[in-house]
Amino acid sequence: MKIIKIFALLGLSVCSLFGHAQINKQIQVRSELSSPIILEGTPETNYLKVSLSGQNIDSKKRVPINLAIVIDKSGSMSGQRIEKAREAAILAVNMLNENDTLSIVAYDSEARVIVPATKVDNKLRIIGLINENIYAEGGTALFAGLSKGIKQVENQLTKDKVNRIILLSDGQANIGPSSVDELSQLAIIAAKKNIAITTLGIGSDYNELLMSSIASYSDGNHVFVNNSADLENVFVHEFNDLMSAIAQDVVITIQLKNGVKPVRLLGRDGVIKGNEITVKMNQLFSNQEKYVLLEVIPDKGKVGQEKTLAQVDLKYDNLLENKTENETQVVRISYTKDKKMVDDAIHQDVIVETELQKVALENEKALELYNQGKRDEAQQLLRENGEALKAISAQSPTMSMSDKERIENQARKNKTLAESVQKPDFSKTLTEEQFQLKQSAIKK
Amino acid sequence: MKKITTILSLFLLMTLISFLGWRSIEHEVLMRKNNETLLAKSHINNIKLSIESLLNQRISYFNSLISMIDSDHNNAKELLEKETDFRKIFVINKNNILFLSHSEDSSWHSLVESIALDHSLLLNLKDHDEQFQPNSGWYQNYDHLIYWFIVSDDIIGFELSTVKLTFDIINLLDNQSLEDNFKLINNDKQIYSNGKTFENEITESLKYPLQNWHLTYYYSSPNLVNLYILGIGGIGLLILVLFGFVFYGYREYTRTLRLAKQQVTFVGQVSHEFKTPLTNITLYSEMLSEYLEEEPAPIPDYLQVISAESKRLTRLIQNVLTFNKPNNLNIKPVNLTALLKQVYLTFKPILAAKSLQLNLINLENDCIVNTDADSVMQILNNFLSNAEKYASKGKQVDLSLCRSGKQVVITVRDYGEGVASHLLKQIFKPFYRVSSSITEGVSGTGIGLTIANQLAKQLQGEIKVINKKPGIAFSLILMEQKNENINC
Repeated sequence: MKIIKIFALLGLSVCSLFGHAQINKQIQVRSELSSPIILEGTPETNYLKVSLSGQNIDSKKRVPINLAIVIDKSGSMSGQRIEKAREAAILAVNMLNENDTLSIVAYDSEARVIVPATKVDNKLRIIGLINENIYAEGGTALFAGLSKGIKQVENQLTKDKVNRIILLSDGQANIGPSSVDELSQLAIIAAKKNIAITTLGIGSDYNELLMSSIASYSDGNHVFVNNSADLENVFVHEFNDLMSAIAQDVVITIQLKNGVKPVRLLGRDGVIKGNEITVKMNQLFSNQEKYVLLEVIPDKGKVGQEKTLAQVDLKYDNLLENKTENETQVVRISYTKDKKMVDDAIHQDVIVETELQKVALENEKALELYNQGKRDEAQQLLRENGEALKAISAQSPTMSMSDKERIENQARKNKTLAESVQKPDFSKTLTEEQFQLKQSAIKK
Repeated sequence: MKKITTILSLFLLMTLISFLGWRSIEHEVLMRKNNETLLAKSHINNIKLSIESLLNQRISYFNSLISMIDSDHNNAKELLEKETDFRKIFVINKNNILFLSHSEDSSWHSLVESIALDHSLLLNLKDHDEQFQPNSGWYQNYDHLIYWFIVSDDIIGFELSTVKLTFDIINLLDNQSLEDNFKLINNDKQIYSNGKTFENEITESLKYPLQNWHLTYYYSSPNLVNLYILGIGGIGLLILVLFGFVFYGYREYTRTLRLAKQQVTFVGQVSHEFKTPLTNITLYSEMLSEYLEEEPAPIPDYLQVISAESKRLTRLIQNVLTFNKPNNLNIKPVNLTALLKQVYLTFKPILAAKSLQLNLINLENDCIVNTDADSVMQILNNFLSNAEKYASKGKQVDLSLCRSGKQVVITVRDYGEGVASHLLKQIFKPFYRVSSSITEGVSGTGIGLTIANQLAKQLQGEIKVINKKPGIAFSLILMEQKNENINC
């Protein structure tokens, strides 16, 4: 009998070990070079792509959300906008459950906490408060509103929750600190507390630079809501993201070895210190792949040689398991004389992402030109960028269908953007597009 | 004339009450305003202190970090990545920059360089004298706000993150003061506002280095309308009540007066109607007594009684009529001494009949006064008949006349039971009669003394009553017109 028990226990523990092993796979890391095999002696620019993709194994389980909705209720919001904002907030209340925490801050000339961070267990009361307090009047004290939103999330901040703020605004911040720099600093403060801020710009009067900066500095999302009727859809979309969060506080450290030189990060912001590159991501969702693209110049090598190019360390908080996890991968590079081998080894998908990020950088210039009033030049640049993408897609016969589609999709987008230069909301649309592109997330 | 004085004095009283009331309302208003201001000041101070304490917390926090940074500058980098209270750090040794974060920021770089070149830049000269060298302090240069420490040879500086400070202040104020109305302004930027804007405001600047931050506290004037309404209402009510009392008193007074007048008029009219039949009764009874003089007893005696009683009734009615219609005075020099002697002779037998002895004592010689002899006679008659009626137990009655200065005093004093002191004033009232054992069974109208008093007033004199124990003394005091040097 005893022996059977021991075996049973052993069996159980082995099972649990395997179980862990499986859960560890919730984030799949792939570190690959655009050209893992290169010609000897001629070190060319190479691209290292570290991609993380979330796998949701247990789709029913979801991470509790700690959300603050910060609503602009300034005078300009009056009418349909404030109504839709109210509806969106109520939608949010209905989508959350008693494990989640919700707070609502509304600001006009001053900011007021309408619903202090509470568990969403009495939905009727919260909805009552929303309907009672959210009506449009006054100025736009965005800084104060956001500050209070951050505070509310901070009050309930724990590592096992998705901590997020949804900021809704349709106007220029005009009360309190209002510069892009000051609000970016506030977003950085939020980011340091592991709070992401998603900014929703409504209509055509908001400051897209300000709103997108807040989102990018805190690793949140930025969406341009042209028609306030779409607000609910945007909310649903955002919530689907939030509810599929599986990892938080992701830190990717790339250590370049053997004389490899870093050039730049494409898309994502990160810190390059000597040979060490650190990139942080606030959240990772199960339905997307996020990646880091690093442009490097490898060292010279001899034929047949294989060198370690980089060591990639990944650290993140597993939200489903409530623990910090680590993973290390090594990226190698080989040298050859054979041009054919080099071409065959090329990872087309890395090239594609590289091209997309490069276009993002070029498009950034177009945005700058546009903001300087050089509309025609901006249009020209956008069109050229699109054409360049098309050419790439045409030149590479080996490219997979999905990659081709991504490239062509962006080329189409560029074309549409170039055509819509004269439209009033052009810069807002472009800012949003840029933001999405630079987020370097591939929706699955 | 009297009415006008009364109205005028009432009006004056009203004005006085209104004035005093108004002054106290004004005083109350001033006090409330003052209280509001004081309250606002204490609130603004509280807010100010809590903001400044936030800054002090920063200083002590920086203080706790310096040893870490001084030992290893890499710690500074790590701190910068994690912490939010400061944005940039520098470490200077003598004139060398040992560590500088954000060296790509040119304005920051050149600022730190200039500090490295000249440390005295950091000293805020207006705050310290030259001998005293502080080890730490704030340094402000445009939008850089630096807190620095001197640690052995090194100078460590933290650039404060004003955004984080603002963030903390907003949330601190959000937690703290919910009832207050205020605005916090940095230069022209509104940092925080709570509540509404009111007409009264107090503005205070924060301490260095936040001297550009202004705190404006708004407070409403206390709701004075209520106070004014209440105050004025109170005064109005007071005046109204006062007038009510005066009016009530006046009405009561006039009512009593009217009643008394009606009574008197009624009695007068009735008396007048009595007079004619009474005269006939007297006349015919006298005629009958003459006619039946020779008849055997008791007929003449009966007639005698009828005649005497009718005469007495006539006298009483005469009294009433006299009281009702003041008789015409016939002022002439009267020899009071002679008059008194006459009275003495008249009353001596009447009093004797009640076994009272009338004494004429202390009689002045030739006391001549300008007065009406009939009136004086009537008054004395009243006095003596009162004595006869009510003081028969005293066995004697004294009649005296004396002079004191310009006054001539005629006194009738009896030795009876007297009148209780508290009733002395009442006895002059019309139709008042002291109810006691001595007045029982004695007929009287109760207006004798009233008439006497009226007459005395007409003669510009007065009647004094003094309780003598035993007995009582009624004195008629007349003013002497002729100056004669004869004393009592």
